[in-house]
Amino acid sequence: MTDPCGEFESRDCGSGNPCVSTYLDNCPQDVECQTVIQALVAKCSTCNDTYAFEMRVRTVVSRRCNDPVPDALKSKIFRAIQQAQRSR
Amino acid sequence: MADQATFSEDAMPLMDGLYSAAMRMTRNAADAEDLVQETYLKAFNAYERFETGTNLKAWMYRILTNSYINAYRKKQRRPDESDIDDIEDLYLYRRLGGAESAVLSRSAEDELLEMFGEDEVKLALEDLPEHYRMPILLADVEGFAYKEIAEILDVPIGTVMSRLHRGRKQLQKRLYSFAEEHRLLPDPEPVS
Repeated sequence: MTDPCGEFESRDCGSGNPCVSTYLDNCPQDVECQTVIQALVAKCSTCNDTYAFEMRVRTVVSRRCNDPVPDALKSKIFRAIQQAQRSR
Repeated sequence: MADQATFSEDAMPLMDGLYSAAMRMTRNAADAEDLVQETYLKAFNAYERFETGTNLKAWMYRILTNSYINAYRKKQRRPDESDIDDIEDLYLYRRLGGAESAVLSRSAEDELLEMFGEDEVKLALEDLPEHYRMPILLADVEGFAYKEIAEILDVPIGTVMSRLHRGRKQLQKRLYSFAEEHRLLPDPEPVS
């Protein structure tokens, strides 16, 4: 994988690396891609810290935003689809 | 082309995520339920035009988003949907993470992140202007990539990137404000 930001190697990582977000967003659920990102980020300890921190914040946000679907709504939609299928 | 007979089997497993997204969009359960039901019925009626093997999840979210924009957004628009102040990069990291100016150790930082409960995170997200809230919801909660978000929201990829970048900073600032308001942060070490 090449550097998708085109400037990863040359950035001043001392102030943190905004490119980390770009890497993460382009392959959020791809394990192989994440592995490549980690290898790239590992070249700089600040980038590594930034990457780890971003991942942890995103995990917290994601985990906290799940609302279970009410059973009544599931049943209502299921019935509505069945009815629509029968009427075809 | 997809077969309507398999619609329930294919699409029902996506309902949890769609309902959560609808909750963040509409900010109330009654509207979220109506929005999800409308989405499923529209998707069923259009399912023969869905191309099998392409991204069903993204297709469903696009219908959800369009339905929300058409039916709900007008009545929900808030007067404070103006743009947000500029906020520095890596807002939370600089204050809590491994930066030199950070006040917390790694374990204390983990504890603090865990203190952001459902109510705080949902409120912080729902309080964002819509043009920042939607990309964050799709990227950080639902796991879509830039290209998919651009297609779902029907905006250029560059717009998705800039909205995500700015929206995340605002979200982090709101979470940090919560930690400050609730006195979750330790006092800074005195300078010797």
